Amino acid sequence: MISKMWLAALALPALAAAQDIPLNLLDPLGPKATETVQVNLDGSLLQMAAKFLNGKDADEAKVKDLLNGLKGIYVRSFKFEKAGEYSAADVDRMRGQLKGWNEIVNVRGPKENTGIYLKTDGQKIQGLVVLAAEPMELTVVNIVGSIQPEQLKDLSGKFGIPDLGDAAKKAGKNREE
Amino acid sequence: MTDFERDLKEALKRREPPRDLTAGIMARIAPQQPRFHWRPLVAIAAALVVFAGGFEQYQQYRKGQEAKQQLMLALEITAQKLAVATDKVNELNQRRIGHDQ
Repeated sequence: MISKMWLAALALPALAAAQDIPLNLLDPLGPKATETVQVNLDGSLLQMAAKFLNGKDADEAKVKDLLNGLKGIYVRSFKFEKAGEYSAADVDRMRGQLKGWNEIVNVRGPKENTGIYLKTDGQKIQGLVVLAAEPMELTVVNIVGSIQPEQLKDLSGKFGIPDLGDAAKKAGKNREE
Repeated sequence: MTDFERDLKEALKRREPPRDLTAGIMARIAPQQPRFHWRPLVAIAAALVVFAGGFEQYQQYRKGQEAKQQLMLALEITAQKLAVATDKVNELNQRRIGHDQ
């Protein structure tokens, strides 16, 4: 069993305060996973990363723009050898932390469960959470700070980022119908 | 007494050494105090400062590169998961369109 772990916990003490949702609730799943990805980038690390982005490169310049309003990016992703290594309760516990957030996409299948949530402050988006639960994989992404879906849209095709705005509209239509 | 004898006697006559002879000799044969060589120390200090500065700069570079890698990884994962959600929404729409027709 190949186990890989990337750690960027460079600012651990500040994490609890910086994250919108306590991703460490998922940490007990770590030992069960065959592959764990943990990204903890607080504001200062994002600014540091921004310094190493090439402003002359069009794609990296867009990422740099995206980072301007961000206060943090946190990711927990676990891949398992077989299904059933995490429970619905684990997912529900994370979902429970998202009360007050706008659920813009929620796809619940027999096996998969994917949700996209936005935290808004008036017109401004102040945070984004992507929760993707697949049989052998569980991923939660928390982007903290001012982010515009257009910015993610601008990055579409560059990092494989799809059109979030369209997804939200379609999801809205689905719910209306 | 010949002139020669007189000269010889004069040359061999006992003479008292100067009073400061012993002190002078002792001063000459005393081990010299090592001189303080400050130039190598300054050079070493300068090298250390340059090394420390370079190391700090390298650490910052390494940390920045690591942060950039983490950022790209985070964006890639976010993109992947958003794509999964979008695909699901598209799939549902396709099914609905098929069903409506």
